[in-house]
Amino acid sequence: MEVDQPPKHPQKLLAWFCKDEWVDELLGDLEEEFKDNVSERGRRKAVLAYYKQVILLLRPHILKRKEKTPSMFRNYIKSAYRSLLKNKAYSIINISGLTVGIACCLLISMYVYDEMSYDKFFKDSERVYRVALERVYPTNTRFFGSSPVNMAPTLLENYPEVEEAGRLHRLFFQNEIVVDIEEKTFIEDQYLFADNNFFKVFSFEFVEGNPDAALDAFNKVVLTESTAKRFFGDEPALNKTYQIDTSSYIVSGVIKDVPVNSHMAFDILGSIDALPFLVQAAETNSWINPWLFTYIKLREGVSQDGFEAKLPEMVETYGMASILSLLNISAEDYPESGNDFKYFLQPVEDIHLKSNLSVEVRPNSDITYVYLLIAVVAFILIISCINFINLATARSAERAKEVGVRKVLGSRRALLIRQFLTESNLISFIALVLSIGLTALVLTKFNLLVEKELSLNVLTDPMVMLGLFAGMLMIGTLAGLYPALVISSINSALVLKGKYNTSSKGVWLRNSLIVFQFFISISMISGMLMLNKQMRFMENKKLGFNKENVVVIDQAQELGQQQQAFKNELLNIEGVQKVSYSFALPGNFIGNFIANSENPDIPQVRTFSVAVDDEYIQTLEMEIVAGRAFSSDFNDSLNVIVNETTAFLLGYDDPIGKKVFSPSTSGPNQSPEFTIVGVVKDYHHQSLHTEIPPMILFNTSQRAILPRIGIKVDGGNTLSLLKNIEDQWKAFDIERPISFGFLKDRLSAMYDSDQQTGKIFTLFTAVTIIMACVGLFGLAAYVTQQRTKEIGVRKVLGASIGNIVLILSLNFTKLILLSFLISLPLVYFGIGEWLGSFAYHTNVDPITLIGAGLLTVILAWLTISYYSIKIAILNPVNSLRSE
Amino acid sequence: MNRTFISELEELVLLSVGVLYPEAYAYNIRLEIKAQISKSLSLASVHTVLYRLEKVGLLSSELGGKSEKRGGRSKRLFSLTQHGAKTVQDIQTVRQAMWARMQST
Repeated sequence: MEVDQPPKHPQKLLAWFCKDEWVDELLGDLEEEFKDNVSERGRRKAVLAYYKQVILLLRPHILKRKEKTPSMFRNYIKSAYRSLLKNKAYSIINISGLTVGIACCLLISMYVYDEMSYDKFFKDSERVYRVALERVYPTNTRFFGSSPVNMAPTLLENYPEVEEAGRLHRLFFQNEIVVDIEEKTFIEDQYLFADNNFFKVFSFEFVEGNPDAALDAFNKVVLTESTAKRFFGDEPALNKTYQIDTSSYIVSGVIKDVPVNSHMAFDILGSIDALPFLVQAAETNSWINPWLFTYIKLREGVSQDGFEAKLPEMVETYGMASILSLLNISAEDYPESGNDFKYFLQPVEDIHLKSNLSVEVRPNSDITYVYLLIAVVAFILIISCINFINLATARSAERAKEVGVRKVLGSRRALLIRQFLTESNLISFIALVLSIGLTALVLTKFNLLVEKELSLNVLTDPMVMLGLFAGMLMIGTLAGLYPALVISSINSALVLKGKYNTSSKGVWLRNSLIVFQFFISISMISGMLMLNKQMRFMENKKLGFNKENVVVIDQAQELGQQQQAFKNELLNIEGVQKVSYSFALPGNFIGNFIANSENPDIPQVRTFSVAVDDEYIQTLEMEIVAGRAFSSDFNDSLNVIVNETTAFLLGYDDPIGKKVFSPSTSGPNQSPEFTIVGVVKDYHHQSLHTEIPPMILFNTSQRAILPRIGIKVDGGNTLSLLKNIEDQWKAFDIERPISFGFLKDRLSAMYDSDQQTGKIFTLFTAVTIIMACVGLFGLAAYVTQQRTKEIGVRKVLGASIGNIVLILSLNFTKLILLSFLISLPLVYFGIGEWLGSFAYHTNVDPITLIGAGLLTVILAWLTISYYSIKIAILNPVNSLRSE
Repeated sequence: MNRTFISELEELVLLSVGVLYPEAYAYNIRLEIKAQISKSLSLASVHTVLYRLEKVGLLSSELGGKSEKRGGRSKRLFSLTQHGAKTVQDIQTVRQAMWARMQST
């Protein structure tokens, strides 16, 4: 008999999944079949058949319905929905707060995501590095993103760890190249140079041409797709030619446009062999000039540190001979000379955020900026969660009755907690949906602000969607957990007797959350005010020259031998005061010059140098503190003017008439000896981020062709003046259109990224403070409501409206003052630290900080005054008669 | 003609119930169908069909007939409702009428 029993496990399984009403009859049927099977086909097959039948019974209509949970869940949603509708003001405050919070979060996350995505699209980008240089001079150290010409071939030939090595060059002294195609002229400002291996390191996709031989001759060039279209229309660009000056170049490849999220940007890549000075440096094997960017791809498994450790030995082996001869130092003296060339590797993915060296392909971003934004996002999210928690706990008096009734009717605490969590998650879900809409709405504006092309497409990524959903659950749960725990813990008997009073419950937490919230707000407002102050400071800082009413013309070399004639014509224009030719005006790139003092004990000084004509100093209204300016009355070709810093570093107390020696022959001037004829007061050639460096001004001969013109003009009718200047340019029959602008605008462009930071920071500060106030508004509504009776009694006893408003505001004011006190040290030191990153900065002043605190208090007063006044003018009869 | 349309499998099950009445329960019906069309149906398929036919009102059922062979468990005994009986009848009528015309041509 025992043998005939059907197997136990499938029976249990069936009883587990099958609806109870059917278990009996189905087991019966199965057992009958089983017994027949045993007698017909044997037990083993019967058991197998039994299993098979049970598994086949796994059908939807046979399965047990989890009746309990889903219907409870539906109930949660329903009551959450009803409670949202019942308290519209509360729901709107909560949902809008969270919506704005999440939208800000989305925007900033997209921004950060984009910033982090730089250069990751290249194949094997994690193995690609740039070789950068730490150049130690006797007096200072500079970091270059660039390295010598022969670095790449040396590494590739001699180090098996290096899989590929390519080079990229940016013209340092020239921003634009003029390209002629038949009748048309193009001015290209994204014209870079590379070697043939460049495309082996970086996986650019070729639309036309062969990447293996794209740049293997000096006259070959590679265009990006959009450039090819600009040049040649829709025809294939391959093997087409164009002219630069008199040389002809042939298009050997067209690549897809360089993605925006790369640390390099170019429209055209020429061959580095087209540049004579690079060819010469390569032939003479020069190892001291970091003239181009070297990118290497390391083999798999080779570590960055491991390979970096081999670089000093490489310099020793392959470069030392050149370094010694070019620096004119003997091998014995070299270790003592204070010179060194230390190379290190920068992962190409890190360059955009972490590299800020003396020479970069283009200006990079800054990781601290990303951190700042992440902090801002965290603040905004925290504030919206705090709003949520505060409002929910404040409302617990209202909800207490509901909870009491629910408890009496048999609701367990876990169920209540679940109900409250459902409610908060519902709110965060609605907020999430709305915030995606809001983000889509403001995205174009935000893109303009941050100068990026962010798109909502990232949201379609399943991982991102999952992350958003998880984030939503987290916010909902975090914000809902505390209120859920508090409200569900109340004693139902007390509540229903009417003895439950919430105003004391959770007050401590609520108050500390308010303090925290306003601590963040005040800190951010102070930060914003200080940022604006610094901006104004930089705008108004005395630069050491007069930037007002100076017109700059670039590309003046186009005038060729007509420069003097053009100058004379300009001077005839009404309103033009002075005209000066120079190599560089403030803000432009300038070259280096190594200066030795007469005193052999003074180490050599690495200065910046600029070649200027006789009118430069007068045009820019610089101040001469000693000696004289360059003048046409003298032959100044071997005379120089130095700034105060140079004079100081050279150890000259009375510099006029002293000599400056040049140890190298590779400087801008071949002559080794100059006489100082004047000292110019230190002026800011570069942005205020850097300190004023030592500078030397050389005088140019009348015949030199210089790239820039500075024109001092009268203030006033600038429009017609500019028109006249442009007409004059055209009158000289120059093919290129004039490129000119005001020096002031050019200089303020140096602070664009600071301005941008400022704008973004201001925007999010505004969001933060608005959200904090909205939360306070909601809270004030509940707190004042709870004190209705108290206010009624006070009024009956003779309190004035003013008194009552004061009493109601006092509580919040105390909290805000407390947060102000807490924020003071942080703001003082934090902002002081940040300001320190500017070489020339304003100071943290107490007035600004107090201003931030006052501003917050006033905002908060305005926020709560609505309810305070509303309740203060209420007739006490109304609030007291319902006793 | 106002009736419920059913599949061939459902028709087979319905007919089996009629044939086996009053001893029509799932296992029996399976054996009957296997005997008629020499195809073995799983308990699940038959149960599904019975469940649906009962839901649309062609069959009714009651519990009863415990037996030792079933381990003392009761059977769910099915019977045709009036509607069910009329449905099989209608199907038969339609088919016969159509067969008659097919032969006459």
